[in-house]
Amino acid sequence: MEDILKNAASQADAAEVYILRERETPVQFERGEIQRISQKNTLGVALRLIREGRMGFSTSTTLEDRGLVERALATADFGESQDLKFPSKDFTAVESHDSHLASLTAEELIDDAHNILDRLAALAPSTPIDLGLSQKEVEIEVGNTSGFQGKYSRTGLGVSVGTRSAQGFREVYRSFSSGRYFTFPEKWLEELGRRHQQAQNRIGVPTGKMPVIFSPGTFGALVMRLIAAIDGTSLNAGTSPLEGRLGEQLFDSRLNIREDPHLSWGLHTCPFDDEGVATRPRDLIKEGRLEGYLYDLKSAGEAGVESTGNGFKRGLFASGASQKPHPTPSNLIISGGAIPLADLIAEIDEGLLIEGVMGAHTGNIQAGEYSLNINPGFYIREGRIVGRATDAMVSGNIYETLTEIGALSAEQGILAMFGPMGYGPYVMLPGASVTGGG
Amino acid sequence: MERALGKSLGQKGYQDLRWEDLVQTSIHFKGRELHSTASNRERGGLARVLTRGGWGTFAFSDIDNATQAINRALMASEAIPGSTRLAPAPTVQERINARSEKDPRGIALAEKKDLLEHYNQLILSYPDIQSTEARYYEINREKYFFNNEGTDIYQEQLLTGIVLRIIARRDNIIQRTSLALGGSPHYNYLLDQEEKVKEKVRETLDLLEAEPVKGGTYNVILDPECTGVFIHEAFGHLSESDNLANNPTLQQVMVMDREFGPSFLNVIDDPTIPDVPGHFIYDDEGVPGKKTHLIKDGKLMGRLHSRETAGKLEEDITGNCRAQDFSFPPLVRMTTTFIDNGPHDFQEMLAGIDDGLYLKGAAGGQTSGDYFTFGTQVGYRIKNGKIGPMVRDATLSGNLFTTLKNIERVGNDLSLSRSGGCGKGGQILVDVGHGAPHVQIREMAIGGR
Repeated sequence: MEDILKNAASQADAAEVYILRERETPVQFERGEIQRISQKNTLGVALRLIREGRMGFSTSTTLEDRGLVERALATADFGESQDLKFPSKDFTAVESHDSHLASLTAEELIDDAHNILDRLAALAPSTPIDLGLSQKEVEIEVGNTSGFQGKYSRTGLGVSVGTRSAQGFREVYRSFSSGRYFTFPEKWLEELGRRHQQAQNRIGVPTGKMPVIFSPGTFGALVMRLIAAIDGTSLNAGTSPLEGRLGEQLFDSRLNIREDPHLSWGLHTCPFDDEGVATRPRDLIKEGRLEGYLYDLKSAGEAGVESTGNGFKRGLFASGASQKPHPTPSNLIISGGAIPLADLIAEIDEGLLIEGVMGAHTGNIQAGEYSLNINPGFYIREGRIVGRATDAMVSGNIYETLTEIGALSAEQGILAMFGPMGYGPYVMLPGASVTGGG
Repeated sequence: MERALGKSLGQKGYQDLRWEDLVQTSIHFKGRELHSTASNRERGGLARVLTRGGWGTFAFSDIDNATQAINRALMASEAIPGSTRLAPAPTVQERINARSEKDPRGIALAEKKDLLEHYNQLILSYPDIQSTEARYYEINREKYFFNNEGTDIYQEQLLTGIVLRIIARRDNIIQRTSLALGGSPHYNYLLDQEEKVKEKVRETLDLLEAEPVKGGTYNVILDPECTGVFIHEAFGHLSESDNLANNPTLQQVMVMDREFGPSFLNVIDDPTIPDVPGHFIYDDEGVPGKKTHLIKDGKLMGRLHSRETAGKLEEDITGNCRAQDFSFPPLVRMTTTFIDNGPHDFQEMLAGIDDGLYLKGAAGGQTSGDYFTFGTQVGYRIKNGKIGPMVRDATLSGNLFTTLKNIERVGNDLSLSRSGGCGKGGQILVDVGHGAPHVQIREMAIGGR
């Protein structure tokens, strides 16, 4: 780290080095049998430097790469002009590393997987079960010529367990992940077994407006549209509908979305972002009002504001040292309500429970538009789940549909959009547009 | 040093080692501003061992760790009970260099920046264009593959292209489209594309006036780009045998000669087509890629394999086992998947629709195996055989078995896409191709309010 910085500093006006070390052990089971163990131990390094007001960027997979500085300098000749300043501030420590989780061997992970499979087999006999279990440890180090020097480690355990339909396609699933070691909750396995039984009855859904309940995992598809619109880069480009609307009431007053990078054992917990800017917990949506935007150093500089500590090298389709920092939230937390999911379902005369969606990455995302294939979803009649809904879509625009939230559940789960985003409840929307084939 | 890596392999079971040296250059404009320029180099390897029932793999970025990686992969494989047999593959020793009509690596960064800026300025010269995202990319992969059967392959893969995202805005209406150029080893394919760019800009501006589509069931004509994504999601993924290999019930559905669509439907996967993103000579387990008929004359004719799935299903290898990069184990993946030309023409399709939609341009898709969905960039109403006003936000979805049977006409104007991306098992491949002629399908579900 120091050698690269020193070398870069001697040929540029300012420099920043980012190092990511990743260690991962995923084990994969299909139909109850172990298929693969895919381990990983890699390093990525990124260098940003500024020469004559222009930024150069290069990356490598070894600290010994003599070409790293040279290539960054070459790109700086044709790099963007900007007045970005690397930060020098200090940061507060966070709880993000579980040494027990980090020390687990492949054999211990396999034992854990068998434990989950055995418990689920007892609840849902003769059902084919797929399971993925992954242990991860990352170490992130950032240093720059402004004097910032920081390093932290983070562990993660992710478990995804699902059943298959009679035809052999995915039926229902549950995922959980944490920075700390955990045992997969029994009640989720029970629920999974129950949903699998309920899914065996296939039901066509009519087209029309009806109440729908988004699971925490699927609600991420809607939240992701909000995130795209509060992204400093979009705001600067004039392509966000939320430009200049801080403080405005956008949504139902029951909607609260916080960003908490300091949450202990969160999946995106960190003391500073990937540009060395200290992170801090804050409100993004408070009682339905827009309270904050997301800025990295670059977009903040352009907007004439301070970075909000959201410069992360993590995107929807690619992550890692080779990515450039981009305004991205850390742990998102959506406040829950007081009503259990079972009661939410019981209050619906005709509607849907959505546990999976496809196509969340398509459509006019920044404008808030969504049109999602529901897979899997469950048809609710007279307060009861009567079967798995087939061929159904749910569509709308978050700036219309989230102005009225029916209820938020007491249960919390993983808020997700392809990968985990944070934590949130089940969310009931009273009049969603559903297109069905039945 | 790379050439000696094969010597680290042991003799127990099957063992292979991939090493990849990737050099990537990118230039990125956002609106009028040059957003960033980058030069990335990624080197790393992945060891794979199969001694009993399943793969142990180990990815590493330090070349000195190759032997350790093989040992760790061996230990992991030993922990997996069972006995999996790989289908046999020819032993190959070959060196393949990328061939380019005009090699981007010999062109100065300044010239590439100027070209990108030229297209970017062209887009921004129109009124109501709010912003752009213009990206130039150039990826050169040097890939080494060794296995303990004696295969030793060096393969260079070069890909260059431009992706333009166009964002138009009038008051509070914001619309966006995208256009891909190149997607081949040839820099000259990126030149003189102004007309294509202008057409896309006009389409984007028209979207500002378009009404959102009303949800419901429609008869549709899909353009080649939409159809390419449709067949990728709706049938391509089902043809990847990894799900099938462990799935006796699905095997009873995916029986050869079973009818999946009309007699004029032909679906092909073919990595041997040059100058499109899905092209290669050897896959990531050293198997030569070949053309595979997935559907022939409407009937199931073939599927895509790794050596593992071909072994399990006792079928011939196809060379479809690919990884995103060195850090991932390879999976069964498509290459360039397309619907071949059929007997109908576009005018015939139009004439056959009283009330429907003409949909153009792909905007990403997804599948669960039996159900699929994909977004489109623009749409037009069709009334009594005539193209009418533009509509926006059309997302299609359906059950693949019923939808393939609902294909009414297949055009004769096959065209292959210039870009492709596909995610599976956490791996996003940038280099998959797809294509098709225009296709007419009845009763497609479209989401909307």
